[in-house]
Amino acid sequence: MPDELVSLTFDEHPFQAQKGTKLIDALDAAGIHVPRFCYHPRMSAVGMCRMCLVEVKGPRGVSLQPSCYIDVADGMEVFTESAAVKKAQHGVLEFLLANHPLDCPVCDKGGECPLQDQAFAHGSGETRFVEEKRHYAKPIPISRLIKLDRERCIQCDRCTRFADEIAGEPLIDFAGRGGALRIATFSNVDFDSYFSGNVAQICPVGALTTTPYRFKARPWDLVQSASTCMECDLGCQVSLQSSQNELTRMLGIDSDAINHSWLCDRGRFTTSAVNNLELRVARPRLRDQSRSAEVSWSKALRAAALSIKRTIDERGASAVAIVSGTSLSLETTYAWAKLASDVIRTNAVDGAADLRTDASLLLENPASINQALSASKLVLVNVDPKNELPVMHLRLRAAIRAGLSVIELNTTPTELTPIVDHAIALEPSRLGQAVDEVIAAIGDQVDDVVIVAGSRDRGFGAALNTRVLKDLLERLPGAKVLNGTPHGANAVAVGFTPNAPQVIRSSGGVTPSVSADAIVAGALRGDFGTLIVLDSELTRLGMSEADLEVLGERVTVIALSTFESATTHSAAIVLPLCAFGEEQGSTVNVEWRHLRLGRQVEPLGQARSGWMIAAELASMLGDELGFLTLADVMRDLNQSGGLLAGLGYEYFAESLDGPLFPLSRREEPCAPRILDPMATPGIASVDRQGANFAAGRVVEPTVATGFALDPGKSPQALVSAERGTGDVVRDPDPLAEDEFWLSLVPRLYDVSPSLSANPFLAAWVRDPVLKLSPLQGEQLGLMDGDRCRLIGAATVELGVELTKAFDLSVRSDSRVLVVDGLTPATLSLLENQSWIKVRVEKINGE
Amino acid sequence: MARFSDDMLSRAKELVSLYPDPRSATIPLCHLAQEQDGYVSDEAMAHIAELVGSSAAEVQGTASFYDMLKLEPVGRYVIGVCTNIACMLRGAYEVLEDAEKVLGIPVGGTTEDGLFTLEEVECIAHCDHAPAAQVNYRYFGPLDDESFRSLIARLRDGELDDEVPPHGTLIRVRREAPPAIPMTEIDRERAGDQE
Repeated sequence: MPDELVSLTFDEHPFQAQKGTKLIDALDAAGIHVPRFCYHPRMSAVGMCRMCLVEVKGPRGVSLQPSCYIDVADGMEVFTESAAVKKAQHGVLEFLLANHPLDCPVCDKGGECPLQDQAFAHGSGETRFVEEKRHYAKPIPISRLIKLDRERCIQCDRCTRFADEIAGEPLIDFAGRGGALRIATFSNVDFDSYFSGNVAQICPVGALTTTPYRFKARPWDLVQSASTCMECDLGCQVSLQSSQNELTRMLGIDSDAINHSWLCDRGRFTTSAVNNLELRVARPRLRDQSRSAEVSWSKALRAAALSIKRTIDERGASAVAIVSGTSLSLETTYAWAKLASDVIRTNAVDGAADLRTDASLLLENPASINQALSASKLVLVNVDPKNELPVMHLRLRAAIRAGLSVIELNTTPTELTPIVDHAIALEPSRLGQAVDEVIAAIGDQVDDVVIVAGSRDRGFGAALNTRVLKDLLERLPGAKVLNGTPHGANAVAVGFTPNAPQVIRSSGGVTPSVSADAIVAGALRGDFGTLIVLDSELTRLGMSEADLEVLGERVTVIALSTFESATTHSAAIVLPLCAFGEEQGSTVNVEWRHLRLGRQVEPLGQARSGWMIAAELASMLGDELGFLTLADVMRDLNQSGGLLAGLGYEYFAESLDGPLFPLSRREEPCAPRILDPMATPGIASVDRQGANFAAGRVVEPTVATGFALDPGKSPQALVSAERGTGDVVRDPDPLAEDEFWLSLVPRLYDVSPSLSANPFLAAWVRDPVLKLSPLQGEQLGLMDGDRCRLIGAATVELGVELTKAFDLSVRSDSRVLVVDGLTPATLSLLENQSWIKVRVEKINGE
Repeated sequence: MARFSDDMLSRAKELVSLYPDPRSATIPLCHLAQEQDGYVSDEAMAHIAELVGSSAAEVQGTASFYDMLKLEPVGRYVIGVCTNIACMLRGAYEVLEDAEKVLGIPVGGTTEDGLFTLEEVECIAHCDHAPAAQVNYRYFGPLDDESFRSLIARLRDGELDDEVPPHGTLIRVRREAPPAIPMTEIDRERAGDQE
């Protein structure tokens, strides 16, 4: 049925189009561009702007019809160039411009504005409107990130449609009527959405602008490169733009496989953190007693090598630990993995601190994002897409609207809970029962099931995560798995974590076997002589600031960091790392897709890429990694076998989105990108979205390196090793009357060095709260806004928030208490254990 | 001014239950809010959004579309003087100017005592009594200086209380809907018809 073709004529040339396509899309496919403002290929058509009028011949003769609003039909005759169409276009544009201020010289959109471009291309060139135009107060900040200039608005409904349809947060809507129609927020409710930046990207005029980019640059001065957002491992494709060696903004590129042109604000505005020079680490530093002094790279590296060597000599190689919890580039991750296993030869290595599950289960039968969203049943296990992989939340919402059946298995409700088919509660006392319920909900549609497995709830340790996933996979042998953990995909792909140590292993290397939690705990006990922290904050990994001071006395901390943090302030040796946009390279996302990283600005001060630092350290330790250029790292990875066998930059020339790994097993048709400058204004030229997008600044596709494995050859078997994933699963002891299980879940804006360094996002960081349903609040005697004391492994004071949405989705007999937000304090409640019992006490007001 | 009172809330819930989709009750609830406060306040819109399951911005979007839903406080009596063609020819602008003088407010304003709001309106279909005006959508006309003044005086003295209830009042006599006829009974009746 979907392949049925219809024949029609465009301007008297015969064409064929698939039944059910919109006329405007069929015209685009035929290479005929119809001007448009309101139509956006990723949103429903509304026919608001009337700019896409074409003449269509029907039973009652030829009439003007909006091409975005009608489907193609057999025998349709369409005219796009007729005098009537031209007249209609002139008329529509004249009306749109009647109230438009024409302040293009001072407008941020000037130069990349669909209204400007189309007025030139399709307008009559004259206006007959001599009256006074509309005036409004301007600009109106509709949120801390978005400013609204109502005079420029052409009422296309794109931003309001995005807010309602795509983001599901209709906090902006039209108000008024006729000439007074305007975009409005409700009195004092800001447009506070994780996705607010998208409305500025899709605005076809300069009505919505982002505060960080406002008056920063002119579009024709921007240079851009194709890159991948690194704020989480979803791998959203972006155009990274800069002017005069400063990152100016990031725009989402429409990648059918990944982000459909959307970005979250955390990703979009990450450039502001990179530009915040005051909180960047610019030069290597050494700490001598309490004073820290900037030193040369050679001195700092010598000190680092000396510390590592001394530790190896005195206490053995295993006393050197390496830990990371953020997304580093693939090359950096691999260089450090090789340094750890072949040069330092330590097993205390974990580059995926956030990953709390046996990653070999994720790799056995991997699913792509699109496969997950078109599955017969999708099972979300311990993952909160909105707070962990924000754009995945948008993709999921769209897929659910289109009929995807989702089963959610979570300890705590998410924003998806109200719209999924089945929401099943995870609780320690009913793990088996929960799995049974999932199987029952799947019913007999077991053919095409995809599981998204995450590590969301920090109270839910690695052993429990692994057990649930294993149980599910045993019952659903054909199910595919998509990784749902926001950081650590690169570490898993190269085996830089004890959760997946077997993926790539050069002969004789040392296998990682100590998890990040164990490394952190061991470091505090003084088990290690040297602790190397790769672009992470130790307080995010479960240490308090007091711990950091104790740590400094027992262990030599070497911090490689982009941003200043508590860790860099207390570390003995600080080495500056390149920030996002300052280095070339590539990365692997949650679906094991290889994606490019573009370099758009020079590294700040003396910052260097992580892989270079690893190579330098290796030679100082008397060995060689053999990495002089990025291509050396890639060649090594290519030969290493395992998941990434056959890896190479040459694939970037073949497909825009990069290949999925393992190569031999996964082929996915690569959908063409929608190259529509009206859909994504600001991507300067349609050509540049192609493979050679800003040549010279991204990694150049090279000819195949001769070392490449035949892509058809099956990769080295991915061994699923039985090994400790932390604690042992045992049935939990029953709860006492006043005890609850603690569920500790992350938020998108949990405090982190890159967020603190971001002047536009730092204000979004909120204190963690105890989130209760009103019913739970009643049972515990707690009201909204109260303060309470939570007693677990530590005692923490928290605010109470009653969430009405929980009433529907939290079972009335639930014995789980939800703490929303990860901070050193809330993490101390857990102390690296899973399923902590907590008690609550109300703090009476003074 | 305020969210729905307990009494109004039960009426609101009754209204919401009349529709298969709660959002359909948005406009009836705006009327209810206007009956309570004389206008649709921000708090009321937020409350309506909760009751119908949409966002406050959407309720505001709907309410702001309609002129008869007031989003700012208005007087107890909203006086609309028609200045459309029939009334204009019969001296509507003189009446309007006089009204501004009598009430001491410009068009669109509300008197300090909160009693009167003055509006200029388009044809209200009372042309046979031109120049006409409406007070809370009750017709008065034909008007001149004198009769307008006396209208104001009578409103002020409460002489017209029976005729003109405060702005926003939907109905003064609440009637109960008859009990719903069960579908089975309707089906049986229909079957009987056919026989």
